[in-house]
Amino acid sequence: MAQAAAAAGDALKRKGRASLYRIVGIIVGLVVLLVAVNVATHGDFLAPGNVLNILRQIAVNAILATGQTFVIITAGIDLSVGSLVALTGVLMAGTLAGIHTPWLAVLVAIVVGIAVGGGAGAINGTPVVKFGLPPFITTLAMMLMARGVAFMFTNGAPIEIDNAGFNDLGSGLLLPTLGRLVHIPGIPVPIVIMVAVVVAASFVLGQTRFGRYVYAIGGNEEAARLSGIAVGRVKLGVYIISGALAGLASLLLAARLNSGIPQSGLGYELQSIAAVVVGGTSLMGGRGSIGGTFVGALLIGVLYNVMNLLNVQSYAQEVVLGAVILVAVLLDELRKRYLAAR
Amino acid sequence: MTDAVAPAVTPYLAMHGVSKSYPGVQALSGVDFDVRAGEVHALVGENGAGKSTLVKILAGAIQADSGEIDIEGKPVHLSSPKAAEERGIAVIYQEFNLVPSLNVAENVMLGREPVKGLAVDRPALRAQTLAVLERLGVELPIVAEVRTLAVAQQQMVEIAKALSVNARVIIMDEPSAALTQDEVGRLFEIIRTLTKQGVAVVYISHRMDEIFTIADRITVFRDGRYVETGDAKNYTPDDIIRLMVGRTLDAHFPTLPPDPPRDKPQLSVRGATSPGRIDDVSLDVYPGEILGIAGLVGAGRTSLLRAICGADPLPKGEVRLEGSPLRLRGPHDAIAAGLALVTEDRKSQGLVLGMSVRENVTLPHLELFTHNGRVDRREEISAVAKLAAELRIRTPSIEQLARNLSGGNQQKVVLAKWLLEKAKVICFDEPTRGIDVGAKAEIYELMVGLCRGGASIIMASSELPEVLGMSMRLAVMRQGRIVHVFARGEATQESVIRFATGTAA
Amino acid sequence: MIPTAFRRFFIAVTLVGLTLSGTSCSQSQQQSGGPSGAAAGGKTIGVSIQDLQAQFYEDLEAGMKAEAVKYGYTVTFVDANRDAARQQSQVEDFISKKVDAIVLTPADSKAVGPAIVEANQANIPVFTADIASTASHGTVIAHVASDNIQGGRVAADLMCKALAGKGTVAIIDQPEVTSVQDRVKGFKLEVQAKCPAVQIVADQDAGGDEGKAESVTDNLLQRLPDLSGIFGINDNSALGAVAAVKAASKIGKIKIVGYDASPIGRKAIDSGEMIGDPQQHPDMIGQLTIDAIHDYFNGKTPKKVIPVAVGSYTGLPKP
Repeated sequence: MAQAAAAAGDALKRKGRASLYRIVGIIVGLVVLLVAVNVATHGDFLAPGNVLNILRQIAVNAILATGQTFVIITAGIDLSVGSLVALTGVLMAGTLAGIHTPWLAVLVAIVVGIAVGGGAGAINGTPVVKFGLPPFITTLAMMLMARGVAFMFTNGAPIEIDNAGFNDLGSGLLLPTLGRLVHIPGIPVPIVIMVAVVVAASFVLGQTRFGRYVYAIGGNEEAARLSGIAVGRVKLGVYIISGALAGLASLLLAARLNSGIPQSGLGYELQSIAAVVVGGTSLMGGRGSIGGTFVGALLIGVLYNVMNLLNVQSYAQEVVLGAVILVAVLLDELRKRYLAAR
Repeated sequence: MTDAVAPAVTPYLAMHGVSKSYPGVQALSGVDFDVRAGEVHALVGENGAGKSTLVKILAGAIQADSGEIDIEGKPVHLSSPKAAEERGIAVIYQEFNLVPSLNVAENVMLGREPVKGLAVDRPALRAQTLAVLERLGVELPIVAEVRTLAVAQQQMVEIAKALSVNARVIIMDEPSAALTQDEVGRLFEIIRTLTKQGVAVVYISHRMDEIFTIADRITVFRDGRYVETGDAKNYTPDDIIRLMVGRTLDAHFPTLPPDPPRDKPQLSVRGATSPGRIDDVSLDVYPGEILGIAGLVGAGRTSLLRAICGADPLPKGEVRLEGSPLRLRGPHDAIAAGLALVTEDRKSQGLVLGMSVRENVTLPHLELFTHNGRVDRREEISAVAKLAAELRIRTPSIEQLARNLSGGNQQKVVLAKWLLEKAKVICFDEPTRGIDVGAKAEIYELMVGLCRGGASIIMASSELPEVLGMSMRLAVMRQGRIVHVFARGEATQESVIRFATGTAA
Repeated sequence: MIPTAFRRFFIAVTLVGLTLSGTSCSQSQQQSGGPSGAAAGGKTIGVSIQDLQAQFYEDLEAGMKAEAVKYGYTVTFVDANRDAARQQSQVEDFISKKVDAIVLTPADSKAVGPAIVEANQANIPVFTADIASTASHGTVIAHVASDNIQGGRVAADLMCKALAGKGTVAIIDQPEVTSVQDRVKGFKLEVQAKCPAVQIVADQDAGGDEGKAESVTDNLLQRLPDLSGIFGINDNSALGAVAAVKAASKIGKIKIVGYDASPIGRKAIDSGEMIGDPQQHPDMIGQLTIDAIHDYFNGKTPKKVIPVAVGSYTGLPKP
């Protein structure tokens, strides 16, 4: 019995050592590659300003994809996040315009954005849980409804946001003194928020009971139910998380653009799904990680950035991105087959 | 049945020295195997003996690393399922390869539909299907969608499909697993019809009684190696079991402890009714007792266990644990009260196959390892490692995915889920289905151990020797009701079948 | 999980790197055709277009390219795909690339503000073409655009003439776009001045999209059976209206005026499905934008707003 425990410990350790070698290999390869891209872009790519650019640019997608990861691991899907970005964005802009005490306006707007997102998530999840409707359908419906309400609320025109405190959430900088040491003006607030979300989500998914249940439901819902898991509550939970994070992503976007725009977030649901699958999460459920999703979002962001730096035509950019998604997922599949055959 | 001149005949199919290895596993090494036209050839061996690898090679799904396969004396290369089909080899897997939403005729002729111009020639499709069914001597509603058919009928569709491509060898992988006694009899009739027409059947099964009823020859595999082949009439079931496990099993079943005192029941069910499934069922189980439940498929055994354990709602009736009534709104309530259900299908209901042994075991009781919202992985590892050792779960590590374990070890993992926090009542539904002989004995030992520890066990099984050998009392169900309860030692195969089929006086 | 994800990342980036090294070479060759040669210190200009798939912007792009060759500038075009956030990212990438000037046709007139501010902070001059920024922050050196109010008046003149001074007219609108606001404003003013008996009875948003315009028009025709004219604020909107009117067999009865005189718009006018279009000159807009940048590089101060005249197209010249 002590042996078994030791064996388990050994297995984990062996895994750890193997992955350590691999990480070293990957890091060496990555460095070579980054240097190559850097040379090709005349040093623009790895300039501190550009690195911050990329991270700031991916914040919205990384946060959406984090919520999406929860949903997809339960074998669901959330098509509504793009429209929820638009809806919560215009509602926050409307709130900010309607309240005259700036700090209070910011506070209420944040609550409105996240609560409306979470509420919409609950509306997505309820028919899935109670009546067994496919999430594809319920979130597709929400995608249309949320977009429509956003247009109705604004009559199609964007609402400008002139609340400096709110806009700082999109373009403000933290730790300017520390930043000066590495020749940057400071750390952009969206990056800080993104990192906090990724770390927290990683903890929830990897370390808590709720996270374990999410995987179990995606792996085998009936077995999870017969193990006494409140399947309905967990599933409802993941849609609420996804919706609330859409509200948070929308906050960063609106603050960044100083506007609530009803047309914003078009196609973001697919971008977020792309980040999730490139990150190694299976659309069949039961498998995946937030870390992978973050790398997926980062990859897509880096690609766009590098292509812009290298003057790649816009049309060609889409072709490359599509091909990369395909190749990345294909390689992952081949790797899994190789491991399974061993 | 065995043809006296058979040895002189060239076998239809012969394999010589066939080997297949996967990284780290030698699945088959130097196997010989042959099939003669018109014979029933049973292929037996414990799980992991190499039967399924052999079947996959014959089906063209995988290719052997070395060795030769001859058809009618000429070497062939079975490079794909299509190539195998063209050589007259058909396989009927446990999970059928049917399209549920198509009708019987469409399934039988799938991929080979007769056409008239661009459209499918429906009258011809039906006529050809009927011709095949006639050859089999069975009647099926050929325009019914396959999903509406019973399992036994679906199996006939599979056999008809094999016959319609002029299969000369039909390999049946555990064909009786999902069938009732009657249906097995019917299957045997069909097999005999097939063999009369010169078709050979390779019959894979764990059930000795069936093998000795139907097989002409028997081949035994053990650990990826060929052990021996011989005429069925020259063996007894004990011989075969000895060859399979490489040792003699003195007894199939452990000695059961003496009956516990029956003063205070641990679990009482009163008037349990669920329309169309179970009808006014009452029973008591005492601490340390194993109550067996027998009955034909559809008699309500599974429904009863699921209702007791909260897996299905119980519209009417009462379940009491140690005298106090339970409110069962779902499995969660049952588990909290100390009831556990070991389901009949561990892959679809018992386990999350993509999770590790550790994660599966702790799933129902994750709260035990959660401190400040965080699951303590180290505590999990030590608790699960301890259980894995106690139950002798054979796995390289408890971090191994449940998917990669053999059937018997998977079943032990399911059991471990309910031993983590000692369950008071454990309901076993088909506890040893699809498990090899050695692991079966271990599961039985574990059940006895649980009883000695004071747990109550309700065990439903469709294998008569199992319920007879493992029950202290034996309840027989028919059409949703308990029709008789045998006291210890009273039940015989015949008397149980009489109650189960409603022919008892 | 993380390590495997990293490996994926590594492989994918390698692939892209290889792909791109090919593409970028061929592009730079293409662009170094100017007299002075881009490599020899020629200026670079980054252009983010709100929707590069529209014919109008393709013409604008062509006008810019032709003019840039004259001066030996390298111009990079990227498509914002009507997404303000994406446009902002592209501006940030231009800043990283240290381009010498940025030209924007904003995906959103207001939300473009923060992007302009960023370019301002990096001391890169910003020009807008076709669509102006209405954001409260950010400095634009010059805005080059069709005189859309005048264009709206041209459309109204065509309509007044076709309706012989009286009738009811619907507008297929896209109100969130400033240039469109001007067109509609000019249209309304001119109708009031020139043919006050013509009534504007509906003004509906179809997002400048042909499919949506068709369904919006369809509904309008149900509601307003006596409608005598439709003004589509661009050719997509007008062609959507044409499709709906055709389906209702009212071609000829309902006079349709579009905007832009794009090739397909002109075809519809030639065949009599539409009566005419104000004709913008997107290539001129592109050309004048580059000229303004050239002036700026040479120390001159271009005019703050550079209007480009709008003409009209009413069919092939009579033989």
